[in-house]
Amino acid sequence: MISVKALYYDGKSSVQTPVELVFYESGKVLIRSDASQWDSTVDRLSIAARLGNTRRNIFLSDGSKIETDDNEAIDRVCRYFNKNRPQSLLHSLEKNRTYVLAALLLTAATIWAGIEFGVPLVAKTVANSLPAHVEHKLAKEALAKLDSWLFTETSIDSNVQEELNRQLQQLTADTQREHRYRLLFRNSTKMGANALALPGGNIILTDALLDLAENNEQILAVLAHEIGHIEHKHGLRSLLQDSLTALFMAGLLGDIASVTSLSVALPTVLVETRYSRQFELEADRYAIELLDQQNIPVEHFTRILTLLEQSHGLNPEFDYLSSHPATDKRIAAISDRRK
Amino acid sequence: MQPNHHPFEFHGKAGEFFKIWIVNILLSIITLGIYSAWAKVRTRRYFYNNTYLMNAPFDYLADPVKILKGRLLVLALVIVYVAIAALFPEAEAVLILLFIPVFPWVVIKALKFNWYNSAYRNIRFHFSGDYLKALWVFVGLPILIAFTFGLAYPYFTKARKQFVIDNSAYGTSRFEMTATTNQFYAVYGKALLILLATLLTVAGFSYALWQGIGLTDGSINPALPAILLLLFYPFLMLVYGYVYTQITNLSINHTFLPHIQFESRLETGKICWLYFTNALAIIVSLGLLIPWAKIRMARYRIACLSLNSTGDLDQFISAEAEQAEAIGEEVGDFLDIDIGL
Repeated sequence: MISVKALYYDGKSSVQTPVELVFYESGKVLIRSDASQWDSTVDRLSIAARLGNTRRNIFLSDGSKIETDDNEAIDRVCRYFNKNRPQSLLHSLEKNRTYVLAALLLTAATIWAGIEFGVPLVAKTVANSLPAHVEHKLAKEALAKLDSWLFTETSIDSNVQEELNRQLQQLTADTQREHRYRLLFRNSTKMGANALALPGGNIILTDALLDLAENNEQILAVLAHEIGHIEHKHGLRSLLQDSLTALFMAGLLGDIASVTSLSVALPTVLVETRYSRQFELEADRYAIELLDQQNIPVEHFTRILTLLEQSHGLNPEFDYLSSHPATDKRIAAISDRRK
Repeated sequence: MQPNHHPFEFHGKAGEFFKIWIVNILLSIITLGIYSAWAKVRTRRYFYNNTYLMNAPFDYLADPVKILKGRLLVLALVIVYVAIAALFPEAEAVLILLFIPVFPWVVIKALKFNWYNSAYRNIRFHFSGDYLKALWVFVGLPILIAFTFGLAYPYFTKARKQFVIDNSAYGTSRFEMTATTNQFYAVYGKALLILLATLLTVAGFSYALWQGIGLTDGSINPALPAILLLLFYPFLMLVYGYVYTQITNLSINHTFLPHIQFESRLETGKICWLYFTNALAIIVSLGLLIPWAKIRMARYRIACLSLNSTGDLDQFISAEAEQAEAIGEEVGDFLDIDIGL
């Protein structure tokens, strides 16, 4: 026999009645208040799952409810009558320090694996299975936006343009022909010396980049890097990875903080810039191989990277929030691969 | 008759909630998100069950299976939407236009679900807003705001609070809000002054910084925009905290049930301090202090809440009402709609 002090609510009005609840081994349950008493059976009670030390609810079949603070006694009743097995398991998980620590480590490991392998793998698979016109459509929209926001008309001589375009075709002669490569020339005061790879095969060179380059090989090195972005479908993949990361973070923290809050936005941005830096390194590796094939010394590539850094006056310490790895790290990585 | 004063109390503990929280996350991951419906109910229950008024806790009674069904339906709708938008880009605008008249329905359904599943002393809350009114408040007024260059915004806030509170009931007893439109305009007017003062301060700071760390050759230090943003963020939080605090106090202090008047005594400074230290703690602890931050916020908000009653709290009678499905709640969740009460 287990007896607990409780509060009774009939479900029809908000009146609170103190009662005593008595459980018998036979399964009979007695509910006794100052004014009256009545009985029920354990089978007809629905006992809420334990949740920390919050007050326990016991629902009766007629819509009335009993509340008690004596969680331990109710747990003993549940064990004795074999009620609420799966739910009580949950409470033992939450109560035990070792399990909680294990849950913490497992969660951290899953998040790390998801960001490091899961998201990039899914994005790569999806990017490779999407039809080519998806990339073309993306590129078209991006180019229209860039043209209206950043670019003005080029002042590069059309003969120079044609010559560079011809060299681009040579450079890409051995690629898989999935993309049709074309050079676009634009002027931009805001971007300075820069090159952009659009999904599907368009590469944009700014006038300032052509001014900056000391020779033709340096431009070809930049092109090789941009071809790397296009061949690896980095545009589409980063779009997919960024949306997947945002979804992943929101799914993880969604119940906890709203998607728009700083505590979700900040880790998302950090992960996205990390992905972007990984893509830059991947494009660098592609460029080195391509330059090797064309017998263009890799020094042209490291030289133009240094020139670009100088022209933008970038602070090499400012790495974590940057979309590109620091130039000295890129150059070190390139020399490593040449050994 | 002298009214009796009854404070709300919050008994939740950060350590206890941390364990529930981490087990929720782990089980959600292992079950590929299916458990998240149960996790949501368990989290809500923890906060409701720890909120006490006159020695009785609140209850959250939602059925996780219903929430799961709602989530799956939302997922299916999103997949259909993304597929249509990808295959027929021209149709995307049409889909968005089609969603506009659905939006008020979503708000009503979400409120119905939430209220129906909230109870106190075994009496459920109810929501009974009608569609046309919701269409005016949630679609009509935002259009009006656009046409009046934001001047109608305080009126929109008032109409939203009024719609939610006046259509809510505890058992058969209706809530009522008596705050006036002028009072809402007064709050936003002061907020605007604070914002202007803030902008002037930040402009001054920026100028000083520009002189200080702008490079000598006239070009801009690339870290400057980031520094300015960091400077601006706490100020913005101050304005946001002020509006949140004052609007919450205003609407709750003018909310009534028969024989009962509610009271909220939030302070702008304390709310801002909580926002700021919570954000900092969450970032520094890589998210581990999220449960602590949530408990802390709930404790302060509930500690500021009380009611004055001239009758007793035994007078309320339950109402017969239709059950609500979780779909509205889940669409609302997905779109991150702040229904606001």
